[in-house]
Amino acid sequence: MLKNLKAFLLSASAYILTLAAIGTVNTTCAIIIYEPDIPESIKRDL
Amino acid sequence: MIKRQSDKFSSYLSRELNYDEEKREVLSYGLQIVLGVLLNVFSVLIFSYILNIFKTTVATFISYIIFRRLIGGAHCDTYGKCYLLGILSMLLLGKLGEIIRLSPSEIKILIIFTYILALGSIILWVPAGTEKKMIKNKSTRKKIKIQSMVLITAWLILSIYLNSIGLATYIISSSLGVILAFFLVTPLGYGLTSLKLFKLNFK
Repeated sequence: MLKNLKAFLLSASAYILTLAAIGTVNTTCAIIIYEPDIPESIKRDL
Repeated sequence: MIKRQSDKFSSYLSRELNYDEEKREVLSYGLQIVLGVLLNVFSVLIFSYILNIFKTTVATFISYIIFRRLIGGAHCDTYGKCYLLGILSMLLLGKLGEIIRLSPSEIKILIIFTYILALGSIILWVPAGTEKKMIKNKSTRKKIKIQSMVLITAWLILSIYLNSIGLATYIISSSLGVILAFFLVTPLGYGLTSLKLFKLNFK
């Protein structure tokens, strides 16, 4: 039970972070604070 | 500090979920964005509350974020500088919004001045990118220019309405936030953020 909950929480965290990462390389989403280096795998020509 | 903690947590997540290095980098990047934004937002809210300029700072901050997300603009080269400049500018503008008193006709002039400044910046510089993210596609640039024009016109109408019902303080604060957002797309804004005004070496 606890193992399943942990797996769910970790997957959900990974999903949210991936969404945040991909969302910020969108054309209409300039970052309001400091821009970290964009990983090569999600970098694209805009 | 944010990068180090993000790398640590993303390594842990990747180990647990059997992700490769590419996916780990994406997680770390996402976490840096989330932590950076949360730290910035909470700092502005807490400091403005302590300094008793909460409402005006929030009005400035919301207006700034709404435009900044769309139009882009200059960034500092380290997180520490970006954080410090961001917080200080928001608190300063929040304080200005609190102390500046203008008559309704003067507020109308401020609104129109902000609108003209924004329109000029949109035509000349929006969307303003950085080395890390630059929008080059002509049709995308045109689309963002149109969206920005619609947004600033909606802001103009809302501000005139708020002025007519006597919410002057918030209009002044909001105008200051909009002016800052558009100032940061100008060459002067880029020049100012890249100046070595202070030597901070946050990682």
